[in-house]
Amino acid sequence: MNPSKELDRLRGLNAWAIERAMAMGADGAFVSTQSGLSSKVSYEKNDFSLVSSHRGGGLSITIHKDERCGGVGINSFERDEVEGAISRALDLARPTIPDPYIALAPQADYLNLETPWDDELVGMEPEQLLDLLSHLMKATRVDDRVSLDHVAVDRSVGVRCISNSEGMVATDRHAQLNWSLMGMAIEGDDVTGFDYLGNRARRLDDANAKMEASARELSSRLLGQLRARPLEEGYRGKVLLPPSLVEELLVDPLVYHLQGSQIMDGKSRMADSLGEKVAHESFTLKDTPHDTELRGATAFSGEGIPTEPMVLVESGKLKTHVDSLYSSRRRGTRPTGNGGGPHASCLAPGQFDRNELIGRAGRPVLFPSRFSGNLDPVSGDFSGVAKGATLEEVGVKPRPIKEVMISGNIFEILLAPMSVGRELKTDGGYYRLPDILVDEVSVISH
Amino acid sequence: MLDVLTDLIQGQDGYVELRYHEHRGNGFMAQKGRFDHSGSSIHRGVGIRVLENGCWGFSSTSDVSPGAIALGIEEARASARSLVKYRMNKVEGLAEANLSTISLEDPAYSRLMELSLEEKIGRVIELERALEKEHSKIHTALVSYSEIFEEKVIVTTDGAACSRKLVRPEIRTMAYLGEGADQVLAGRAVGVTGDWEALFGHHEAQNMVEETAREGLNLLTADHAPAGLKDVVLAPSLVGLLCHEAIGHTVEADFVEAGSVAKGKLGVRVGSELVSLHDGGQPALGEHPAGYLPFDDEGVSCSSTTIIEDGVLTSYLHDRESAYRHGQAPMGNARAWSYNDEPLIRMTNTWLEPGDMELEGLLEGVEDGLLVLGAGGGQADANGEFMFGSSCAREIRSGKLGKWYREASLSGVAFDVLQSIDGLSKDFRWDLGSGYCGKGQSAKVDAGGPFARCKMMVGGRL
Repeated sequence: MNPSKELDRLRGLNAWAIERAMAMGADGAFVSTQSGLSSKVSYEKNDFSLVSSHRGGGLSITIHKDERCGGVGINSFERDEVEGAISRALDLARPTIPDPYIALAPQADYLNLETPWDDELVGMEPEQLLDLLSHLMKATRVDDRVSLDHVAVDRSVGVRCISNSEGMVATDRHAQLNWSLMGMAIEGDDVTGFDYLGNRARRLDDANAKMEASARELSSRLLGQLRARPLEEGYRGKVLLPPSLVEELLVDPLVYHLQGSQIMDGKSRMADSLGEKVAHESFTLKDTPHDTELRGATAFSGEGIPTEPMVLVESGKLKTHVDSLYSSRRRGTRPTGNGGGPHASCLAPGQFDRNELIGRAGRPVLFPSRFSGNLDPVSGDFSGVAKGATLEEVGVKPRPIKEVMISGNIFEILLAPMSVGRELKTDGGYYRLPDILVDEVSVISH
Repeated sequence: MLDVLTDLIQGQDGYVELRYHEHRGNGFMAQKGRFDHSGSSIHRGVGIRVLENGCWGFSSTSDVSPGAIALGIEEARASARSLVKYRMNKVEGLAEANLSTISLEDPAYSRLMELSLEEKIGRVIELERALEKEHSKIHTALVSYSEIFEEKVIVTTDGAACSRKLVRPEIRTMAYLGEGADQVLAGRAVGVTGDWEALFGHHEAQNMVEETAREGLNLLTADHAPAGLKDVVLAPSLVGLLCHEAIGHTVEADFVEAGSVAKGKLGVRVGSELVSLHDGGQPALGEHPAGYLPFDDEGVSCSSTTIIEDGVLTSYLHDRESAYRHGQAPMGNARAWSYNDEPLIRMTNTWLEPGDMELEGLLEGVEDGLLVLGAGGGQADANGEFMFGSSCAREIRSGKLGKWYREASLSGVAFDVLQSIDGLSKDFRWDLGSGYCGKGQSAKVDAGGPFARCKMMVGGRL
């Protein structure tokens, strides 16, 4: 794929679709097109299972008409089908309720993020992907007690163009290698639960080292879960959260309440909390949308608003809410290009390494690797199973724990004393976060 | 399209499977007096799977012209050939199956297609307004409706040549009550295979506005459920979730072969004698299950698999490849969500057979426990550990229903919970039709059963 040529094609298609929409009676239109190709190789049930390839693209169009809007998505660039989509979108808009706050983003200048584009990665053949998969699989199965249910490597290449009838045009591209691993450890009748992880590389020469790190981490976590026993006695107190759970249990629920869309609907508990304490003083949360190592990195929001780095919570105090174009118009604020919250969450690092965090617990502390349960972002209440958990104590071998449930309220936990780890980690996705030792969690033994 | 695919497959060597898939979706959502979403999507294409030299290759194309599909067949063959030197255990064969040659168009498909956008959008607006007016403590009402029109045509070199058109509508109501830090969310959701008569005739759709508001008001003053191992009576939606999450996934043959807890347990008692559990695309019990299928994505006619009979594990769920290895007959459990997805072993409709008790009788047997209502999300693990959520519960004290509790999580080990079942009601409901199963791809499924009494771990607050 030649990204420049393909983007030229999409720009032309978007412009034509907008022109047709206006000619067909729209007051305004937004068009998003994307095209790409991917190849995937899979390993299942301890054997290579499938090679697959896909090539395609899609177009979605939102029509504004008489303060109403309707949208249609199709997986075709054929002009007659695009015209059919425009006509359908007009039909979809007609019976809805007029809303004067609906708007299109204005023209803007966007930062050039210079996302890596590795021609060697783009041109990979299936055999090269199979070699990488073989390498990943062997690195994970260092011990024959590790059983891999599913391993996949895929190479994904694509471009995207968004445009609207206000003259806004924004484009980006991606070329990356993604991998995922899911498996369990088996020793006689002892079968651990599933565990999984994934990561990605944007350059082929980064891939091997990152894959080996993923393999080491997964096999270590799986083997560490063998001979797990239930916790003898529950407690209410401290739990050590890894970065993935910091995101799931602390950052995501907090961000829900910072969004203008939740505030305008009366669902946010932080509508009037600007400048107020919403978390412990060691908690500083930022949105870093220009961190190109992360999947969420982007120079523009889905509406075409330029993104900007922002401090959301500083030393526990709420600094800002975030808004889409629609919620900003409704609330009389400035759009921040964050309709769905931060693009890339980043916490300021603390001062403790993992051993120090464990020591600060003052007792054997639960360290789950995943959470399987319910979390109500409105109330902040959560309860569920702590998966892949160990009981950690300084100087003592971690003890695997099975069938332990945890529950609590996110907002009580955010305000309670916490200790923040100094090392920030990412899985290549949407965050760069540390371990955090939190308090006020109910740990319920069987 | 059936003719196009049939022509293309003539003269192909080995096993080739061509699947045309058109997925048309409509979705509408009204919230707080405004219309938040009015959208459609149309995705169509052909998925091509080839078995060559004991290896699978897959490709897909959104260009459904004969030339593009023929090119896709060659790409899939090339993919299969590239795998030959890597795959250790070649696919030795595919199980003999009852391959479908039917052409089915559910009349509900055209009835719902012909229903005007004005009527569909108007119903959403009407329900949202009614819910908002239901009680002054509801500060935000939300109603969403979606429908998926699905057309599939499947042709294989060994005899499947079938087509179907089905539609699956869903309706959801949600109410936010309270303010600031003291807010609750209540809701109802229904999904079926069929038309509006089936959707709005579903028991869960009856008075769904009033019931959503009532649940929200009860939750506003409710405590958290007490934690610990409890006697519980599960509503049919929770029984369905138990069947799907805790049992169904562990008996999918790909999970079994990877080492799930069900491996090696065929013929072994895994539940009490009351437990008989099934999965099937065309179940005889109940009406309009959301996972209804006449044939699967390998073209296999769907029938039912008895997974557990009188407490004894009797079968796994298979595609044709795993069925061949296990010497069992495939019952139609190979499913793909989109044209560019390859078929995986998936559940369809999964259910527990009803018993002979009344709900009151089940409650009477509980001294101190919970009636758990309203299924939330759930997950299962290879070792049989599972967790699922419920939106609310009622206290059971000396056989009588007492106060309301807010959301509760339930967990346990699948076969231990099945062993603890000591009572089943005689009524039966499909009650998971608004859910999707995720396994790398989505799948529309349903699940259900009677009310069931058992022991489970409840995750409350200490």
